[in-house]
Amino acid sequence: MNNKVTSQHSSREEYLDELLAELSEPVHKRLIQAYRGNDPVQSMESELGKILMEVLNRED
Amino acid sequence: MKIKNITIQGFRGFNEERNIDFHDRLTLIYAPNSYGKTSISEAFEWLLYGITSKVEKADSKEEYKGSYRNCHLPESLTPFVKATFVDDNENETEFHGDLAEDETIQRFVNGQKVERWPLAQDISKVPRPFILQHALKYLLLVRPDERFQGFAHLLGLEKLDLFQRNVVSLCTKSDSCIPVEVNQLLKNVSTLETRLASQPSLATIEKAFKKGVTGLAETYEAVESECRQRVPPETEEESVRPRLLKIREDTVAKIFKGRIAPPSYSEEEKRVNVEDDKFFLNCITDPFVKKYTELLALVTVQHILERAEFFDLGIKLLDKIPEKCPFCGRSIDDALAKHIHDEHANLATEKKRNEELQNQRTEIIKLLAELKSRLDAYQTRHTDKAAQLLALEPTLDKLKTILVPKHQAHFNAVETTILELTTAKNNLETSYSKVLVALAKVETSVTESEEDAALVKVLGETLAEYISDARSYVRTVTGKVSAMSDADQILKHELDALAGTEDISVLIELLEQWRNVKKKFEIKGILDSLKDLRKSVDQYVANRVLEAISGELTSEVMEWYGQIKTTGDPDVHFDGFDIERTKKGELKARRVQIKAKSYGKDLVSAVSSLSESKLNVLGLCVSIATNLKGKSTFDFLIIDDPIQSWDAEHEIKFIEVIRRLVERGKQVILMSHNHKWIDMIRSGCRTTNGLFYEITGYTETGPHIAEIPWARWTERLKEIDAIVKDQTATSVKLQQAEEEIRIVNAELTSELYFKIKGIRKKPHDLNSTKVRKMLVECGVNSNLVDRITETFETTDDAHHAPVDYTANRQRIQCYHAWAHELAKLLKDSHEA
Repeated sequence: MNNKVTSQHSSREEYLDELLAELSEPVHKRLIQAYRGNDPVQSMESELGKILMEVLNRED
Repeated sequence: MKIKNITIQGFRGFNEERNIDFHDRLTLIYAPNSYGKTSISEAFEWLLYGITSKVEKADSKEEYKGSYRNCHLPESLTPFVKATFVDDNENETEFHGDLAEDETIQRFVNGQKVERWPLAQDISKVPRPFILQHALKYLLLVRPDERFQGFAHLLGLEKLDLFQRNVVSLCTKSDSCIPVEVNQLLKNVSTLETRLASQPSLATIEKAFKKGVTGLAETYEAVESECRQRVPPETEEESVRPRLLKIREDTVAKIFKGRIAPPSYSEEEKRVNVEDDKFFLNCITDPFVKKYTELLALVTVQHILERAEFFDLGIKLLDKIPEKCPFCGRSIDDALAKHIHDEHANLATEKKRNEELQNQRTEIIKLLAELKSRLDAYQTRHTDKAAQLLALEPTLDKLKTILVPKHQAHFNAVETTILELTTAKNNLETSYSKVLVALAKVETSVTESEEDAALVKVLGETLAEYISDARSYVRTVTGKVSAMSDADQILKHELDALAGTEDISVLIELLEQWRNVKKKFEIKGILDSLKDLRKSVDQYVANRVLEAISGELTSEVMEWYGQIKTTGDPDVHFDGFDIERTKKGELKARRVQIKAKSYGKDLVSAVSSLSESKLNVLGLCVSIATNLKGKSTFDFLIIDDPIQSWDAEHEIKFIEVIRRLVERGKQVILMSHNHKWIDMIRSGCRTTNGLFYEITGYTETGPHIAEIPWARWTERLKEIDAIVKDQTATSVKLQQAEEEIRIVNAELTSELYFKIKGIRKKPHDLNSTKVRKMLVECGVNSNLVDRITETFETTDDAHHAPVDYTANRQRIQCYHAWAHELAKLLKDSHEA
């Protein structure tokens, strides 16, 4: 039971790692990775903006 | 850790300082409603978490403002709560929290100020050691989403819950994250799509376009085909677009020449603007001004240079005839010779400084030249930006006939923009001229060695004004981009409509914006895929929570529920937790299902099927189960009035739960308004030997708390008599009797001391040393004092038996007899 509890109380890093392993879409991975920042919401939002700007500025 | 005691002053229902000691196993507190029970549990919550759950969950925090401070506490006093915690190794730590004026908590550990409690990280990870009535209501009788949040909180999954809510917010409100430039692209392509749809001759393209990213190649082929049909057959592939442009321009020019060019800055231009701004600002900072003003010293050192030449010559001659002056032949003594050499050395230093200043001048001349060159480029870059738009000014009347009245607003926007840009440009040109004049004066002062600090000051002022005007100009320009871009599109459409070139115009735009069209589909694809991300996160979180609730939590809650479950009433009971599922069997996001069964048949939900009494029981069991899961930092559990709305059968069954909690090592602090029930617990947990308090009254000073003996010593003695006489009593029973003897002796000593000395001492605080001292003070004969003290020898001061302890019937019989002797002494003293 103790092990289970440890997993329930696992840190943000642990469940982000677990979720990242389940995701295949690179964009989604980047957004979830961004959640590790000091201000997770702001960091995720700015990552999305960055991803879109990369598409916009990409030279084909 | 367990709690040894708590002291409360000026917090919630407590005014004057009150102290409550806790038994390390079970403490019961009885008080009628509104006598301050809940203030005790709130004091603990606030001390540990800096906020009470009542305030934390309040819809309006404003309503609770100022509610921590007791309104009767004198202004000069600070409300505080302090508690002593004891760890497994019997180490004591005092947590002290002062309520600051801004309602935050100021923390002190053993008197030292700290930012956070030691173990703060651990405390945040484990369930809170409180079972509160209102918290149970928040857990079960709330909307499904709030229930999910409540369970996540109980299971220590708050961060996961917050993460999911944040991702959902991102995926459903992504619009706010789309950069302006991306939005502009989406808007432009969308407008193009609308125009395409309005051209029946281009229906083939539209059909392919609508297929989205999968129809991209087909769309482009259709565009090429339509373009070919509108240019002469011999046109080369790379000339198709220029040819179409020419056809359109020639046709449209017959109606109107010019365009409403949006004056936007490219990314590169923005970067260079920032760099130039920085450079200009550096030119007016202290280092530059200091370098410039240091040049003033060049003028003053001129005469020194002349003296230096003279001294150079003199020293050369002195080297040949050291003892005589080379000019007048006068003899020179050592002191004078030294003076001459020192003067020469000083002049050499001055000369060196002069050379440095000359280099500094060269640097400044270069810097001023660079400033001039960058200012020119900067000014041109800005003024060029609006040139095309401002060139429309003479043709505004003609433009009006095309745009008004249908597009009056757009025409007005163009007119206003031209006016505002003209003003901004004029301001910029005026301040630019001032900078040039000031710069020219500084340049001249340097080249002609007529440096003047006032000149550089003027240059600084004019540069600052110019930068400010330039920034204001940039703001005006960039603020108009969107409106002018829209107006330009409108003009183009109107001209195309007038000239009959709409289809060609759409084709040209499709060719020109083809990259943007592709990017639009890619961007749209990313934004659409956020739904998939949300789904993945929903499933992941639902699975994590399911894992936590359906396995062990369900079995543990079932176990506790089984303890309290009544058998006399209808068989409608809780039947475990689950996560709701869709018809396809996928887990629904944020939906905790509380299952119920009636006579073996599944019910829709426990929430809608169970009575309030059973729901309360269930909520309590969930709290207990989560608190017992794994190794928690807290070895105590504070239960506040758990039996509200319960029937008698549930009340009795819950006593067994309390006993089991204590047996599992939990220190239980239980508060209730039901005296009868508290008495039943004391009786049911008789051997636990806890502490019992009654809040007997309540005034402005706060609650009046009295400690009541857990059991009367006479009752205890009777019980000990029975065990001692019982020849089959097990060693556990004998150990219990020995422990009881000590409690009896402590209580007898306390009562005797009160009788003789008039001072009340708490029996549970007494150890062998204290007992001996008190008995001696009471004049008890030394022989009995020694014997009574001996009864404490098989335990330490914390009343723990040593590891090698074994029960000894003979010893216990002796102890038993001595306790009776002390009891008789007390009885006699009463009679006397």
